[in-house]
Amino acid sequence: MEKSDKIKCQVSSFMDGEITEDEVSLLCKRIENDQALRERWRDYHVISDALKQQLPVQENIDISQRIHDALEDEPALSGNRKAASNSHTVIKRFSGLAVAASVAILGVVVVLNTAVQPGGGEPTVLAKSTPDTVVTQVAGLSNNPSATQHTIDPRLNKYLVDHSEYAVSASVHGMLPYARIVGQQSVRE
Amino acid sequence: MLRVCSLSLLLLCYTAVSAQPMDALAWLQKIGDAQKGLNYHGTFVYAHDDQLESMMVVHSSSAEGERERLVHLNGVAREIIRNNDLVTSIFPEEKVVLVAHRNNLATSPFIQPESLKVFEKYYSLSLGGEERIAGIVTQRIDFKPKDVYRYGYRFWVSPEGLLLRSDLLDGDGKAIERIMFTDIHLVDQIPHELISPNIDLTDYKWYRQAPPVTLDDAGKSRWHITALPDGFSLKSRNLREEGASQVEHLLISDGLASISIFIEKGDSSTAARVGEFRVGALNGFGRLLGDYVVVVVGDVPLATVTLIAESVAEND
Repeated sequence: MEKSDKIKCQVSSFMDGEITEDEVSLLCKRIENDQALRERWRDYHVISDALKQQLPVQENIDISQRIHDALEDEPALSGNRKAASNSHTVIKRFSGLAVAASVAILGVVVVLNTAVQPGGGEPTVLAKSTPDTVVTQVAGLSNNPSATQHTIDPRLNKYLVDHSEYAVSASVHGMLPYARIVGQQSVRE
Repeated sequence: MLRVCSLSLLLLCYTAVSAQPMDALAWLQKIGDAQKGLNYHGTFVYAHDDQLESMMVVHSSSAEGERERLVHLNGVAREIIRNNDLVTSIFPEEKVVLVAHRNNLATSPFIQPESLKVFEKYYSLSLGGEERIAGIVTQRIDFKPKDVYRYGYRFWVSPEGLLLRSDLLDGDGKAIERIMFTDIHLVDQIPHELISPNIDLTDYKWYRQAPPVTLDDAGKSRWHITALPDGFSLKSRNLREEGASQVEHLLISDGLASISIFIEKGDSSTAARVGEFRVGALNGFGRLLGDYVVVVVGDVPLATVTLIAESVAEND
């Protein structure tokens, strides 16, 4: 076992209260000095909290299958085939958004102004040009290998990102539409 | 100084929930107010398909307006920061920063009481029980759609009006998407370090999207919708220059669900945007309309986006 893997196992054991006091002291120092371990520690807590407090074990175990079934069956459609006049066609399933792909069609490059605080000011437009950013392509659905995999069209990807951002204004969910952008992209990792 | 929700405050909150029953509409109004006016930070999990993501959110409200920050806690630390209508997205894996203006972002859908009354026509609202979420006693509210054009929702709301858990439900009541806080802190003031990115951006490439032109007058648009499902109404209509192309973007909502319509002239990649598609809880449908492509996407059933896409028509 690699040293880094051993430490990850220790973090997991620490969460479960399965290591000695000496090991706790040593591990705390490691976590304190290692950003990746701190993130792992935080993630374990988040997921642990979710499982212990709000996601009953049985419900959590079967949530992916339930969601998968829901997506496959789309029962909301079953009573309305007339409205879905093209329901016989193949549905393309995209596994996630590739936000960087969107910039390829923006056509405006700006440079970092060190005085700019993200979200707090305007960057300066240096020149108009076509960005040379490589268009990122997304992978297929990991939970459904039998499903047809599609690469998302950059402009369609841009629509999805724009929709998610604008939906913030019309939704009661606050930042949820942003969570869809940030969360969906992770399937490429 | 942080004013963390303490045990005593929780007890007060519990008393408030128990002693002052409100109907579902009143709770919705409270959510709208809290969404804009409270200072808070916390962590939530976001479940979709077979994935479980954790994220941190910070919201600040002051005389200068609203400021929000969302940070992905798994894997790459992507983040999005909103300062009123200015949205900055940071993507470390591509070393890209996107800056965009979004019109009307500060408008909450439930500020106007008349909007709430209209809303009640299309969803059956009922109060569930009290349940603990992130250590706080919440009120559950159920929204069952009265037709097949929208999904159902289940909300868990804190006494202050914060939405601590939200499930998006299909026609059988099964969860398609879930967001749930695991900890949340109400504070008097958000510390500066929590609302600012902690990523070194010096070697990032920055992109800015030109501000869209708002089309207030529908007469300026070439397009109209002939069959919008009842309860949905137009929230904004923008025109954007994107590269050599011009895209018209219409945003439609019934208060909970949001639908976008994108219309632009077709090109060599048009075929990739035609047909039905799905990304997580979002359904979409694209079709040709003369030389143009119409794409509709939203967190509604496929039937709804298909119906709307097919009902877009050019003005005489």
